[in-house]
Amino acid sequence: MIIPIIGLLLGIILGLLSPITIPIQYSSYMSVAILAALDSVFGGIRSSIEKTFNIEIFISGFFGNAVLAAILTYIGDQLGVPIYYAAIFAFGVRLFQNFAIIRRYILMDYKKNNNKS
Amino acid sequence: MKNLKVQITIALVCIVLGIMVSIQFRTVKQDVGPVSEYRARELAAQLKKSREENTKLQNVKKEYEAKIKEFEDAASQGSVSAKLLKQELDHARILAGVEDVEGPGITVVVDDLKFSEKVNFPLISYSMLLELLNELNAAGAEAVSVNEQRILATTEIRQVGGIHININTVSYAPPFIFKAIGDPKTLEAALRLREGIVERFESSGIAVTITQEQLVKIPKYNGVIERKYAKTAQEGEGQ
Amino acid sequence: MNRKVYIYYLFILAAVIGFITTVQFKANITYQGIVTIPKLLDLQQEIANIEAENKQLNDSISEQALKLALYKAGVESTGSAFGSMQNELEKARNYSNYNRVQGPGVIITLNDSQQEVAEGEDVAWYLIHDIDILEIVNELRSAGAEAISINGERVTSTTSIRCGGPTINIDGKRHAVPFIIKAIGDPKALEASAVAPESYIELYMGYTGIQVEIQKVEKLIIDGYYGRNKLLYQRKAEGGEAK
Repeated sequence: MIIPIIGLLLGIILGLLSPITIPIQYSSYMSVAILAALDSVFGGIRSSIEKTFNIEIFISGFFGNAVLAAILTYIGDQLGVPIYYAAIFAFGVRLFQNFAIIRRYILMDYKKNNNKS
Repeated sequence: MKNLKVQITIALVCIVLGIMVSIQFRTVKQDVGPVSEYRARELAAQLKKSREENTKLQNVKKEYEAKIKEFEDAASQGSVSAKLLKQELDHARILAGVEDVEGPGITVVVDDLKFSEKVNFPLISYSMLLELLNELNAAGAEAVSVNEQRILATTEIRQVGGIHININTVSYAPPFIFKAIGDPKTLEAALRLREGIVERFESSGIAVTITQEQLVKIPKYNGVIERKYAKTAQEGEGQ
Repeated sequence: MNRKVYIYYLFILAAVIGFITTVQFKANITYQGIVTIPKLLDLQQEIANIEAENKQLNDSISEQALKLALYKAGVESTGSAFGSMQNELEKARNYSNYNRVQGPGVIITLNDSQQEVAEGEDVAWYLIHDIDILEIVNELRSAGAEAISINGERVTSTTSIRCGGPTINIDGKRHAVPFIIKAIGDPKALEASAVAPESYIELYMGYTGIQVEIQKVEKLIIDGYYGRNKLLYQRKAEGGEAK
């Protein structure tokens, strides 16, 4: 679990040091893309615990979800329908679900180790 | 071993996620500050305060104007010369743009129909407004205002960030509403000339609506006309 | 977990929820809707605008207060505001650009390009057009120019600048090159705006070699406006608000 966290910190530092900023009107696309990415990461952690992890699915999900969410937001902006609430809702629900499952596994692990010792 | 590979994959993705998060963070921080309910409420409160201040100031200004008018009216009762003086004063003020004026004229609405807002590209640029103003002037406009800002001899029209255009240092987004006093027929005809300004605007996707009116009211300039450098020269002084 | 403990947990949770809800309710917070970045930007813009207007109003009020004080002093010393009104007329005439004024400023001289027209290029690019002068005047205004003239024609709020064949008509009067733009204001600020890298002169006029000369001057004299009568259609709006 340490390696992903190191990765996240490295990414944050890189982002803070780089001079890139995105135009403010695109920031809503970026925010749903972030949510989609976050969802993928939680999904990845969950499947790695369940030992069903598949690199192709994980990577394609990460980029695919982020791009799809951004596209939906764009279409929604053009149509005047706030589709991006749907993305926020869907990813949000999934995020919490995945977190709940991960939590359960970790708690179970912890209890098992306690019983052993 | 397989577990390590999985962890590294997730770590790589986390790097990308981290970059996205921090870039977004910096962007938002730089341009808007925190996007929270608290901030929205703070801004709404500030807006309300500024609006109240605005009403108060306008009332104070009106009071002063009324008092000044009293003095001037009282003085002009006194003698013929004072009456003439008052008349001249009124004329000079009308021409300077510090007096509300009315008369026949036209209203021109220049609108991009929300296009600019969607793609954040200024379809209507400041130079187009400059040209439109120039056309109105050439057609004999006597007084012009844009979005209730009186056009003075010192009024600038400038693009400021994205779609906003500053007029008398106050910034406006489309639609731009021009009011001009003059001969309504001449004014409209000048704009609608073949290959004239309206045709050019419409061919680039801008909607222009012109209405001729019997009575157009144009507000005075609300600020102070600066004359820190330009002092009245004594007559007879050479070039 | 036996049944009793479970009830206690629920009791405590319910109490906490009840407490939080009442506290939030008491705060009486108006709902702002979903806060989005565009919404915040709009709010910021609107505040900035009203603040700018307030600044104008504040300046104007102090000016009016001064005027009123002068009137009062005039009435007290001479029995009428006549003298003060004469001063007032002087000022209003200056504001209306009908007066000859003097002060420091800059002189910008523009002349058509002497360069050979490159192959495949339009000769029009090498000449000065109405739009060039309009843009330069607009930039001078932004930089705080208080009085401007072009070849001696005073620029007012209703001055028109239009191409008419080889000449440019300024308020309907024909003028040919060179164009001499005089502007009174802070010479440093005016010069800086004209030579700034993003200024119109630098961006659009350097390339084809249109000749531009900018000169700071200690004392400039600019004649008043003497063109058409501008009081044929407009009149003072009596009573009622211009809205």
